[in-house]
Amino acid sequence: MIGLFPLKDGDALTAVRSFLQTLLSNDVVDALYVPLESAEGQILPALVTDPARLESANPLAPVMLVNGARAISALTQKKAPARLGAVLRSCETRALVELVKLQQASLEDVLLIGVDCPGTYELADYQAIQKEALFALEDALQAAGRGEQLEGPDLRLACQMCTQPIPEQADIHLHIYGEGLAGGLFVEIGEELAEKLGLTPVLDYQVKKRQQVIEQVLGDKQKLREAEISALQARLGSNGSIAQMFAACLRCHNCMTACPICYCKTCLFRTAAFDHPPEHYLNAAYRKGAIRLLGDTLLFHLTRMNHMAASCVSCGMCSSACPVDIPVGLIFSTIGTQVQAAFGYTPGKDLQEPLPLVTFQANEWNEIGEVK
Amino acid sequence: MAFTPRIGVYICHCGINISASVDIEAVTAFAASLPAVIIARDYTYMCSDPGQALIKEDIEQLKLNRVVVASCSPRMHEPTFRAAVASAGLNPYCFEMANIREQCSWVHPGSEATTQKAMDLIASAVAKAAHLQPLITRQVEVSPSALVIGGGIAGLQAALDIAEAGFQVTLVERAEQPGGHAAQLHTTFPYMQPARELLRPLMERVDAHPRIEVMLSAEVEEIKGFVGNFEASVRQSEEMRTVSAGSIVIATGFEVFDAHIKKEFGYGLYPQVITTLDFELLSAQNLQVNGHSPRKVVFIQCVGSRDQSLGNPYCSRVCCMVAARQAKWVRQRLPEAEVTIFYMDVRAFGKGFEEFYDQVRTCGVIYRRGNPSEILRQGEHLLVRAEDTLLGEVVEVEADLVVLALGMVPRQDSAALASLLKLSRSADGFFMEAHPKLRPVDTSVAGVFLAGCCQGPKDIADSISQARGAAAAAMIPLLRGQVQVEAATAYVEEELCAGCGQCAQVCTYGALRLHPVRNVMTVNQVLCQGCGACASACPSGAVTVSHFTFTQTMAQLEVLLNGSNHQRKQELLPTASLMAK
Repeated sequence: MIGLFPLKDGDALTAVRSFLQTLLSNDVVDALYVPLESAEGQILPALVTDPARLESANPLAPVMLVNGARAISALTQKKAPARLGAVLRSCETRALVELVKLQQASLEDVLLIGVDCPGTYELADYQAIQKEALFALEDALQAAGRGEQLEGPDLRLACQMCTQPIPEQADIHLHIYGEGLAGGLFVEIGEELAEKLGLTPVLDYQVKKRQQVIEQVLGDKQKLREAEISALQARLGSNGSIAQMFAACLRCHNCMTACPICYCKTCLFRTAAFDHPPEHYLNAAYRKGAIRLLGDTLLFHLTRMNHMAASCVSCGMCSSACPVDIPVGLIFSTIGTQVQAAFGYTPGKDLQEPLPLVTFQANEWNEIGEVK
Repeated sequence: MAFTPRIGVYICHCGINISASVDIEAVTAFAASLPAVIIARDYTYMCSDPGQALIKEDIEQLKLNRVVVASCSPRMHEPTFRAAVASAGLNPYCFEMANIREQCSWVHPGSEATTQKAMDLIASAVAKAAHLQPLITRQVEVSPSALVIGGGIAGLQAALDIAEAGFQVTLVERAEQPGGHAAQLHTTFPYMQPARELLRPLMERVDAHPRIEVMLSAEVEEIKGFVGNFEASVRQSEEMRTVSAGSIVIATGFEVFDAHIKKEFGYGLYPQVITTLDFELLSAQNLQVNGHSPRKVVFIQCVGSRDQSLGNPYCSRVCCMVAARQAKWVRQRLPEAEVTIFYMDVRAFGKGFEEFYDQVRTCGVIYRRGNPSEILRQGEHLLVRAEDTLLGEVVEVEADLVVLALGMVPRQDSAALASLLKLSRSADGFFMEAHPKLRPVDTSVAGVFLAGCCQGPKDIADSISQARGAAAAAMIPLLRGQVQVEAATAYVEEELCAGCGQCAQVCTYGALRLHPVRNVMTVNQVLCQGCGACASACPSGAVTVSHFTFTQTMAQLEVLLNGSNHQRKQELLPTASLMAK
């Protein structure tokens, strides 16, 4: 059902904060994962048990330091030790679903609180918006509700081309698109929970209006996504192009650290696996005339792509983390889209859908295999 | 003291199989020049006793600690050479093989490049040899029981033999009754014994045997484990049961060729056209067609066999004698009847078959060489049209009964059973034996054996022979009580493992489990067959397969990559990776 949580002082953020407080104070959850805002305006992901601390909660700030799926993985592993609420964006929930399939997180005893995502800015842009007071968050949210964006910096590329801003798995879903936030905070919620929180159903909810806004937003994003992906595909067509794309790589491994799904305890590329004897490099140079050093730069990205392509949810955290502006996320999204299409797999959608690369079907890929 | 590899390389001529296209002398000189190689020798047949003696003597006298043999596929002689080095006191896993026959001399013409490839393969094997680690071969207890799948005459015999030797046997039969196709036969060739007389005592003995459990209307749905310790999930009506077995005999039999497919013979269209199997039933009822005894009977051989157009090029081996036996039966019961057999060739290869064939001809059965092209209706009778290839003319023979001598085809579900046990099938679709001459009852899966027509068409005598052979082979692990398990198995480096379980998902042997407390994957060393699927699925490199470690494989690759660049060979530095870490 759709319930309405009243806006206090006409302010969406205050409404969200007091809604989250009801979850803790009504004993729906024992702890809540939600970003908090520091006095200096820094947005920090946090685990909150004291309802009073939610006075500084800000899950609506259009910035994303980390993909929260990683945090939920740390908080749950095999099973959450307490009833945990998690306020997450769609890309965070999708990454979390992949981590559950990879046995790195659990959704048992986890209440997913999804928020419509109007997109996020790169950290530097977000700081600029705050510093230069380009616009107020409240105004940006109201505009987002109508499917509009205020004048200012561009969203992160991953958000500009995100076609899944609406969380699908959420137990509680906070609407931003559609009615706007003028009348209050619309909450999609199970009836039992609604009763516990004292929410009454909204009878005249404008579903159509919400759908219109979403369709319009998605349409624009879809177009951009297709354009960006086909442009990159075109670049990938030529020999050596992928090496060219990663040419500036510093081997800092930030993309791996930022990736919510890259889950190895120790990355193979941080072990001695590729420490070769010196002759190895010289022989390779003899063979080819010249080799790039260190040798595992491109191999690192190809290996990560091999491991992540099927599960990549296009959150773009890798791009944001790259100090030399390599479009890592776009490259992964492009390859990922092809891999996912080849296996008919949608990452983050369905917990029951098995990971394609470890699933054997006797009758698949006949076009490239032995036909029996 | 640091370990220093001392490698001996042995290059086999394999008669002329290798030496005809590879310059053995050059290859031997090259091998001797490789780092850590103490000695390189060549010999006509390295697998022969004198060949093996060369290796053993060198191990003792030259204190070799690693051995490389360059010869055929390890599928052929790896066990031979492992045993040879072991008898000289080396660990069998300190041996490495370079396949310069199947992967080189057999597939390339004699040329410099072929010799170069042999060198590259040997250099690669030598590079790996330097990194080989001795492994401990272990024995595990065997479940003293067997599973026999299929309750036809072969399955019954196999079950009986194994049980008589003192082991528990579970016989799983899909049908409501055992007996298989033999139960549908009236008489048998060449001694005209009623099939019932052969089958019934066997069935009674199996039924009464204290160590045989017969599961009827039952099907095997899943088989896990390996030789010595198989676990089969058997569904009987709605219930699932787990059956443990040390070895398995497959005796699932065949299907009779569907005569409807040969449209020109009008089976199912003309009531007077029947099959040899229908004949068995009719002869039990004294052979009446439309209430009359037939006066003109025509048999047609090779229906569904030796037929390229159907994709069944093989001979079904029983139809010649079945038709002869049925023809003789007609001549005996209905002396007035005229009996003609159309044949391509008469195959009377078995003991007493030729004599029987003589008897059948003597008793008045007419053999006409030719393959009928069609059967036409002529009033109440049929007309069989064929080219008599001896006379070289088209003949038409009138018939009021036509009997089609049906061949055997593999069972429809043999693909499913093959995938259940990972068995191979031959081109004809029957299960494939491990070797057509030397291992006719074995499969490529250790502990799984074949009996009867599931392996190819056979008569009862041959089915019984193979069943008794399969039973004897299946008893070997049971009698030993222990089987050796693969030592080259996977292991997990726990500091690297994130417990994601992808390795477990790709493991066909169920050998990997998540440790409930440590939250890392663990390998059951008994179940693991060392296939390496887990190692390739692991993104962290946490899984390693002994004998195929990252270091060993990289050393091989390194040499192969360098070796492929011949011009620069002189400039290449011997890599330190050849010196074991």
